[in-house]
Amino acid sequence: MSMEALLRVENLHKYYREGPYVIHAVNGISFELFPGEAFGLVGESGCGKSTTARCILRLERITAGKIFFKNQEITALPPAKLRAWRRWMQMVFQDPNESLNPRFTVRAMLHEPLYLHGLYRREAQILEALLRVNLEKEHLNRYPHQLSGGQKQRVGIARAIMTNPEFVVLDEPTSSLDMSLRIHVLSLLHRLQREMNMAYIFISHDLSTVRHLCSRVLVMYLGRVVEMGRTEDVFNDPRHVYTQALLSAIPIPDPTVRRQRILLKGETPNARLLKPGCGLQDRCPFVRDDCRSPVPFIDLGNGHQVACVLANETPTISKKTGGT
Amino acid sequence: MAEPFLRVDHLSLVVFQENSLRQILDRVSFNLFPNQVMGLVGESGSGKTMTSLAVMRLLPRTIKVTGGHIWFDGQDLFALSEHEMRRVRGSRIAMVFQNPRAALNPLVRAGDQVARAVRLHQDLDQSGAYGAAIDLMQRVGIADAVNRARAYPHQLSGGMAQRVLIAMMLACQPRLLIADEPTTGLDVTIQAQIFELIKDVQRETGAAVLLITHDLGVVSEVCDRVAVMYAGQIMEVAPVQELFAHPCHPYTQRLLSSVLRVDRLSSLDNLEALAPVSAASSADGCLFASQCPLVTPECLQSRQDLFDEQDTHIVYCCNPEAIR
Repeated sequence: MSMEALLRVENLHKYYREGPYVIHAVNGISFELFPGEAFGLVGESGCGKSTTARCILRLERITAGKIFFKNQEITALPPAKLRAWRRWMQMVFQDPNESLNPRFTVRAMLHEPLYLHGLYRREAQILEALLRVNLEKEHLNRYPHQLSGGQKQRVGIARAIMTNPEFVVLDEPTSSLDMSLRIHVLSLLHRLQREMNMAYIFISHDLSTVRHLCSRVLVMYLGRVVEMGRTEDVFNDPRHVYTQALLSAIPIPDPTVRRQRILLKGETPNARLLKPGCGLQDRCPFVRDDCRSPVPFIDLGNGHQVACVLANETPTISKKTGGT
Repeated sequence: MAEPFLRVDHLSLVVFQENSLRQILDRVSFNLFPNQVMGLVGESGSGKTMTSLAVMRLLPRTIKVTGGHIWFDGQDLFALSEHEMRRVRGSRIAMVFQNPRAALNPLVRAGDQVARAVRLHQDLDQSGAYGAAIDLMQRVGIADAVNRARAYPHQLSGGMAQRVLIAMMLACQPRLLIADEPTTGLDVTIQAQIFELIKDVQRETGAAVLLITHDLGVVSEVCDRVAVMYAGQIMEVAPVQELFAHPCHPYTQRLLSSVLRVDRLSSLDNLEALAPVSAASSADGCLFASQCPLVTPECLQSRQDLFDEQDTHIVYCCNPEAIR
C-alpha cells in the first residue's frame, strides 16, 4: 500500500494507576489506517482494544506515543484546537442506552453535531441521514425510550455520520443486538462505508463479524499487538499461537467441520503483573525459552506481521476449514 | 428407542400484562433422552428460557400454564406439590444460569457455597463436606482449589464463577442439567473451556443436558439434538447433523442462511433482517407465516407436525413442499 495513511499510531502506551499498582492497558501499539478501509481491532475483554480507540480519539489521556491524523500530530493538541478535528473522527458506542441522551429527541441528537461544527444548513440534512440508516421520518420526534434496541443503535450510527467524518470508531456496535438485527446493522455499516468512503476502526470480540466487515485486522493480547495483516491472511493462516487459539475456539455452525482446537491454559493474567516477553508465555502450549525475552515482529509479507517466535514453525490449523 | 427422560407435551403459557393476556409459549413439545445433549435455539423472546423455567417450575407469578404437561422420569411435574418439587429441583434437575456471579451468594466464600450444596444432598459433617467441595472444585478444573475456595464471588472471574456453579451442581448429582446460555459474557477461549467441561460432566454422569443458546455454532459443536424456537412455538426438532444438512422449516432455513461463519465468507449485501419476534397472538396458525416465503392460506389457521420415517425429525409446517 503506497497510499498515504489517514491515521498513524506510533508506539501508543496507556497506563492506569490502581492503588499501588500500574495497570498496563496499552503497551506500545503501532498501526496505520488508510482512507476508506475497514480496520478490525480484535481481542478478548481486557486486551486494551477499547482503550486504544479511546486514546486515538483523545477521550483518554495518552501516557506515551504519538498519533498523527492526516500527517498532523494531534497527540498534544489543546482541546479547543482538537474540536475542529473532531468533525473528521466520530464514534459509535457499544450500548446505545448509555450513549444516547434520554432527554433528546432523535432530531435533536442528529442536529447537535451539525450545530456544534457550524454545518447546519437545512432540515433535509437530518432527514437524509435518518433515511440512510433505514429509519423513517416518523422517528424524528421520538425519544430513545420510544425506540427498539436496533433503532437506537441506528440513531447512534446516524449521529456519527452527520458531519461526514473521514473515519469512525465502532466500539462493538452490534454486541447488544439480537442475531438477525446484528446482520442488518452490519450490512448497513458495510453499505454506509462504501457510500460515504469512510474508514472504520471496528472493535469487536466477534471474529465472524470482523471477517465479514474488515479488510485488515489487528489482534491484541494484554495491550500488545500479537498479529496484524490482511483479514484473509490472518484468518486463513494465523501464525501467532494466540490467534490460532482464538480462531479455533469459535464454534462453527456446521457439524461436518471438525477442527483441532488449541486450548490455552488458564485465564488472561492480570495486566499489572506484566512480564517481559510474550504475553502468552504462561498459557501457551508451545512456550520456549526465548518467549521470555522481548519478541520481535516477524514480517511474512503483504503487511502480515506476527509477534511470535514460532511464526514460521507452528502448524497451520485452519486451512482445512477454508471454504468458498 | 429408549423412553424419553423429559417429555414436554403441548406446553402453553400466557402472561398477564397491562390487563391483557399474551401467549408466550404455544404448544411446545419435545423429548429429551438420557445421555443426550439437547439444544433449544432461537432469538431472544422466542421462549427458550420460559420453557426451561417451566421445567424447573420457577416461572414468575404473572405467568400461567394454560395447557400441557411436563413429564420427568415418569412423574408429572405439574402434579407435584411445591414440597415435592423442591426435592426434584437441585437434586435431580439442576440449572446453570446465564450470569454466574449473580447466581452465587456474594457474602459467602466459594468453597462454603459448594460445601452447603454438598451437605444438602449428602450426609456429611462440615469438614467432610468442605473436603468434598474442594474435590469437586478440582474436578471442574479450578487450579489451586484450596485457595480459590476461600475467595468471595466478586474475586472470581466469570469463567471461574461458572466453574464453581458447575461444581455445586455436580454435588447434587442431577439427572438433568439445564444450562441457560452458560457462556454469555465470557470470552471465546473461556467459552470453549466451559463447554468442554459440560460435555465431560455429561459423559461422566450420564445426565441429560438441556442447553439453551442462540449460537448455532455452539449447537453444532455441543448438542446431539436441537429444537428450533420462534415466537414461542417450536418450528423444528431434529438430530444436529440432520438439521444442518436438511433444514426443513422455512424459518430454520432462514436462520441457518443468516449466520456469519468465521471460517468462510458470505456476502454482506442483500442480507435482510428478520422482523423481530412478534408477541405470539392467540391464533392457531404458524407465527412465522407473516414472514414465510412459502406461506399457504392453511398456515394462518393450523400447524401440522410432520415426521420423517424414524420419528426423529419433526417439522411443524403445513406446507409439505417444505419437506423434501
